[in-house]
Amino acid sequence: MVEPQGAIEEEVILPMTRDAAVQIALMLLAGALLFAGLAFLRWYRQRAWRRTAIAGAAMAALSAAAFVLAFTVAVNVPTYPVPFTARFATNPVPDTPETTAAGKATYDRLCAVCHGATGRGDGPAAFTMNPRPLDLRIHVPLHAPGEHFHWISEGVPGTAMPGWRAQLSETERWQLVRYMFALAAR
Amino acid sequence: MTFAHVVSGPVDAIIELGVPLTIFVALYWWSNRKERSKRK
Repeated sequence: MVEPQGAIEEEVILPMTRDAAVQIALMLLAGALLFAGLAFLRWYRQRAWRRTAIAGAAMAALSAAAFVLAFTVAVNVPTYPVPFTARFATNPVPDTPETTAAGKATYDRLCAVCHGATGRGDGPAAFTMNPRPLDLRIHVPLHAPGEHFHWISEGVPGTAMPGWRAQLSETERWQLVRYMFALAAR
Repeated sequence: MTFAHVVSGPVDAIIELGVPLTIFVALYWWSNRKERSKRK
């Protein structure tokens, strides 16, 4: 049986995923450590260091708050990490009916067996998988086109999702991304 | 409607880096400003 994806909507309290909140918390922690080092350096050189130490403590406190939010109220939608630049990649194929049709042909041929004809994650092969394919209608709009392109190309470790880099050309993979967004918009 | 991210795509990445960076720059400016005014 396919997991009820609607449950995710009710769990969302903080408008941010756990992954995003943890990323912010880690960045704040890095800043706190930098301030701590700077404060130590100033103290060592007998310069005024207290304000720097206070700034470091403030960043550490904010980092702790972000960690607490991440593991209490932020929704846990695990996302396999992508290279930072993947989020900025734009789809080079035009958004036309021809592109969408080409993407649909590829989708029906290779993807529908697991993700289902309508993207609900209920294809014939889905029921044998753990974890099961996600509902693309919910998850596709939550990510940048470049992220989807990366997952299609490289696959998703720990799941049955394979990488299609060898089988599909770059254009075909981007057409697939176009179709996935069209599918999610229905 | 599900809002798993504040926004998605490049802006999402910019927020994840930009928020801590802005806080860091503001605190760095604050700590230096106070120290300078103290010397006077």
